[in-house]
Amino acid sequence: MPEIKVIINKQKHNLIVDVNETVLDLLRDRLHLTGSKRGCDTGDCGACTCLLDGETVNSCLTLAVEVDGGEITTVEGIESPVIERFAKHGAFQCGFCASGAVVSSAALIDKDANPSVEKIEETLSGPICRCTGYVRMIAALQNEEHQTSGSDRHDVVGQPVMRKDILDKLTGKARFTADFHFPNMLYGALVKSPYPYARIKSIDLTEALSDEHVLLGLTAKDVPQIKYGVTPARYDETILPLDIVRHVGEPVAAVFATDRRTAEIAADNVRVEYEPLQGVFNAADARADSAPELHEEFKGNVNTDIHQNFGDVEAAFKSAHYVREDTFQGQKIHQAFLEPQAALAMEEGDLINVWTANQNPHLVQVQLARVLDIPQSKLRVIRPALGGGFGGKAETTKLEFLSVIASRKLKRPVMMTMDRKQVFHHGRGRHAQTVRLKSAFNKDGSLLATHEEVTLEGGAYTSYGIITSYYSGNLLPILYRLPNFKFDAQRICTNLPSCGAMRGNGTPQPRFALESHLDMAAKELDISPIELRRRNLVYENYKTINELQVTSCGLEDCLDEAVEMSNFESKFGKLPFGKGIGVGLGSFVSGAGYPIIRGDFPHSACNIRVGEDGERVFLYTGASEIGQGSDTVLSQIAAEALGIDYERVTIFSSDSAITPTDLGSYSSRVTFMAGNAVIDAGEDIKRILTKFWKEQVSADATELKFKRNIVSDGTTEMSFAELTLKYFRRRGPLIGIGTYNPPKLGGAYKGAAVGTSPAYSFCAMVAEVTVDPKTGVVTVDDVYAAHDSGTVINPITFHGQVEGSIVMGVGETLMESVEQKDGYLRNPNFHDYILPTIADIPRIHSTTVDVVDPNGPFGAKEVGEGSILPVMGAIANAIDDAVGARVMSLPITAEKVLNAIKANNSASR
Amino acid sequence: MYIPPLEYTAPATLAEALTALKKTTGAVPLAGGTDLVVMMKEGRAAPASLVSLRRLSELKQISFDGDAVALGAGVTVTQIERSELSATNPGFTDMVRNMANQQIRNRATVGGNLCTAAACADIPPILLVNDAVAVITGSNGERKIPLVDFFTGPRKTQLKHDELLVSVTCRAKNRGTSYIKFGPRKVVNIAIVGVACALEMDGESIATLKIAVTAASGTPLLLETNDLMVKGQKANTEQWERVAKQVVEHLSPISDIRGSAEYRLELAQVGVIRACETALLRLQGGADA
Ligand SMILES: Cc1cc2nc3c(=O)[nH]c(=O)nc-3n(C[C@H](O)[C@H](O)[C@H](O)COP(=O)(O)OP(=O)(O)OC[C@H]3O[C@@H](n4cnc5c(N)ncnc54)[C@H](O)[C@@H]3O)c2cc1C
Ligand code: FES
Ligand code: FES
Repeated sequence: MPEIKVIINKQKHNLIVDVNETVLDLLRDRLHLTGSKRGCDTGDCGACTCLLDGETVNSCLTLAVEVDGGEITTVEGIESPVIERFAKHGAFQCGFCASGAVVSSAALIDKDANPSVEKIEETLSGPICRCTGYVRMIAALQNEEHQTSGSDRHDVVGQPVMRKDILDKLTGKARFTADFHFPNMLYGALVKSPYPYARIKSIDLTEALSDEHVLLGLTAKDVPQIKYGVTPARYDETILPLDIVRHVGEPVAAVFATDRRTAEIAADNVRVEYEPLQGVFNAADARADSAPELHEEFKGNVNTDIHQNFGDVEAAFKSAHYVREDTFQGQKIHQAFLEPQAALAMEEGDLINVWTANQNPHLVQVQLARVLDIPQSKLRVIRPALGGGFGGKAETTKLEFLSVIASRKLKRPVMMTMDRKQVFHHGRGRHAQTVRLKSAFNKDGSLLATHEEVTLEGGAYTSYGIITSYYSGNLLPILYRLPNFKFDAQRICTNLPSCGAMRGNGTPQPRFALESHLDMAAKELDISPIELRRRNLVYENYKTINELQVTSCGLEDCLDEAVEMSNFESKFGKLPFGKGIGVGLGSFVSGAGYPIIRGDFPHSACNIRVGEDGERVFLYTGASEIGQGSDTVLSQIAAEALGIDYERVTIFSSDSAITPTDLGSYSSRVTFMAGNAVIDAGEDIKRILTKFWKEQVSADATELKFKRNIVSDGTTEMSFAELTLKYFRRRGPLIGIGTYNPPKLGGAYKGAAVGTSPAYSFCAMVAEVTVDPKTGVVTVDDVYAAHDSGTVINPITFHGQVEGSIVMGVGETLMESVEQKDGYLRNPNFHDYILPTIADIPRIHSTTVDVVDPNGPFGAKEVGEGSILPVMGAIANAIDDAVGARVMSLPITAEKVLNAIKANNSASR
Repeated sequence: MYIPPLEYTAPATLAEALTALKKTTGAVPLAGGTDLVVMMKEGRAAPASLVSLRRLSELKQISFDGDAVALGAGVTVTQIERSELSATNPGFTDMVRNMANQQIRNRATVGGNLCTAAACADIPPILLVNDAVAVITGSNGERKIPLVDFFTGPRKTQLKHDELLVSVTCRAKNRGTSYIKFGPRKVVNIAIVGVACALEMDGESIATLKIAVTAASGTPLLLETNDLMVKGQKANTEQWERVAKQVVEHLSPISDIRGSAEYRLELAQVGVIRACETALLRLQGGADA
């Protein structure tokens, strides 16, 4: 084996390496320099970027033998002003991409302290970022302020404070699940089905186990056959299937070895005999009489069947001035979070520790306990730094189950990770929805009725699909007043990776459909698209026909703002051919009104312990920081609630042994629900201290004021630290407990729970585009976004969510699609599944309207999901304005635009 | 995703490298690895042994000789970007800007790109319109062939297993060159279509015109002045439209995830027109490089 001499971060190393070892393998697996990340392993994401002799390279494509005599610098070895600049600007969210971006930018800033946008784009088109939309990276590198001004209504809430987690993420210190390493740790690898649909005839582990470094193989016979999933009504997955595989890449066995590569080689040496079966790969084929039934319990492959009817749509269609019907086709997309799933299990003391890249660690704990028959409290589920989720890491995976099983059998720590290909095959991305809309309008554009029919192509298993299906219709009436509404949906099983919950769960494609449909109607009715929308907006305290209760609502102000910022009225229909402007609106829940697993317990719980010296408080919450900034926002809320500085709050989140249960990061619930729980805990502390004050300081005091680290009863004042220190001396630890439960919401009909929420966010967006009429290429030039998300807790993380959503929306609209042929994915990697780069982003102008929600924490509502909803419609409408081409299927590729333009030309000829 | 175990040598001279290739069955040269490492990880290549070219400094030179330049096979795209070539032959700058991203460009070599011979490769077109000749060496000595003949099919070249591409020579000074690429996003794209052009004028009329197209046939297509019947003709939009129509007659694109065959033909026409327009503007001192 070759020996190399290499300098890494200024330290000399003499190393024996394997020829097939990449620099990334060497750094991460052997030297445990885990700042460089493995996002794809094929050169496409840039998360592994290092400097080799001063130049950026993808360490995943560079063999270790090739760097003999060279010098490598990883993020851990970077000293550069960019780190501070990025931190100050809040340039990153999950931070998984940060090391690649830091390494690349440091090299750039070294040469040029104030680089041009062009230079920045050239340098940063390598590292892909899924969270941020790149906006703040550019601002940071140019040393420019970017939408960071806060409101002064509160002391800490509303301020652009620095993210709690960002410095660790910028320096490579933050540990993601796959970064952990323990002595004696083993690695697991999955054996995956090569067929879309097949019967497993036999599995032979002999050859795989013949390697002495391979310690264990597991098949269906070795694991419980208890079904699991997301919603109890549709538990349909098993850890390893006994007889049938239903999609390519479905795991059938697992092997465990002393290192990652040995485990993967062993997995390839497992001999599985299959009897291939004829599968179904689209909804129509799956519904055919001759189609095989993939699950006994889903007759005709119908996994979910919804029929709702409010009012009388047929009567409205008969009597209305104008009725139109349109069918839109959505596509499957993937969350494409940069960090692949990973899980690590290890028995320690009384407990089984499970570190997992999962946004709902509580659900993982529940499922592990249920399926593996382990008391819940014996499982300590910890979510370390998490590299993005967007809904794709919201359910329990094989990795968590299998690592726990193997670590218990082998009495050693067991790490399992997915590679990018497996991430795509595990799926759980957005469903492809076919959305048929039929609506009736008055002459003045008022909506009288809508009938929505949705077919969701769902893949092999249910995942979140039943909720997605309901969301695709239940939330339609929350934006425009619909006096009559009919909603039918069917989710169909096919032999493809399962679809799940992705940002906006179920609603983005119907929103794209409705926003397009409304513009098409406006054109026919000869009303401006703004005017038509204005006539139909929901308003404060409006109750929808399907019994969703709007509370605060700044929708009209959002529309006004977006129209004004963009100068819409003077541009729409008036720009030169090839330039266009379009509008889209959106609304989303701030937390689901009902938990996924029904139970009579708080949706969110937390506690705050005041440090014994009184100088710092510790906030313990199960809420999941997944990049969205919840650690920061919840710390701000705690600081505000207690009247102390943000810097005095330290947060511990998502460690089931020390943090109280929170349901997780889904349905945009964290700021609203965990935020309210934190306020509750703060109030608890204040209550305890008030009682203490009356006993120890002044019996006459009525109410205490907690502000800027000072506690006062109007006459006497004392610092928060002094008071709490006194408390500790006399009474011992000071702990406040907080919980949150939403009120009882919604109607009594079947499915009425889905879509209920204690508050809804609203937003309006206007997109401006340039379309090249010769090629169909669309450039989104500007997006103007106005949000009613209630009080903005932190403008940096808030606008960061907006920017990230818009750019993800641009990708979803123009380029992204998970493609398959005969059950085989055609693009399960980042060279063929393409994501927006830094060069693909529009200029983003994001603002908020002044709304304070009566029930939100300090008046706050959600932003993380709602802000993606208007994007597709706005862009589609702008394209139509630019070139008169209406594309009704996603993604709106250049080719489709060109074809639509050509169809127009031949029609007008 | 892993690379199966394999052997490795990093010879110090070209002669040793050739011997290593000849001696070892299943030995394959390794340059920047940006194609080969991916292929090995994805199981699309499984060489028994790698012969690294990293120590062969003679492959890493860009040498100018009057109007000609020799690009060593081991020259990286970044080296091209930083060389004089980007000033004297603006189409190379277009190519660099349109190729991959910085990390890849720092490693990706000319030789690797040509020898992978992907039907969508970005380096061939600009070389082809600059009269490129491939210099190949093997144990039987050196041979030179026009680059256009080097490619024999998608991912197929004239190279024998024990030969190396040493360099490509082409014109260094050519002000009227351009490269236009279409991809599914703004940068870091596998080409849907790419078109290079080299134009020389004689007063108001065309002296020479060369067009090369990538990603629209199994191998890059090159059409020259005579094929295009443009000598002495006017350089204007009608001319470019006529040329574009003629070019697409020679293309045989496939449909894939990035675009249909019909769309590729459409883009090729637009690409030809725009590449010619840009080249003309450059000759007139108009467009940037
Ligand atoms: C993220 C990413 C983006 C990319 N973008 C682009 C793009 O935009 N445009 C584009 O054209 N390509 C692109 N590529 C492909 C690749 O980077 C280029 O083809 C590159 O030029 C290959 O060079 P290399 O030195 O890395 O080749 P290697 O991978 O080292 O070698 C490639 C092949 O050529 C052979 N070879 C190399 N040198 C010689 C020689 N001197 N003689 C004989 N055989 C030799 C090797 O044996 C191997 O079979 C991209 C790749 C990645 C991973
Ligand atoms: S891990 Fe190397 S580029 Fe993605
Ligand atoms: S912050 Fe860039 S991928 Fe999450």
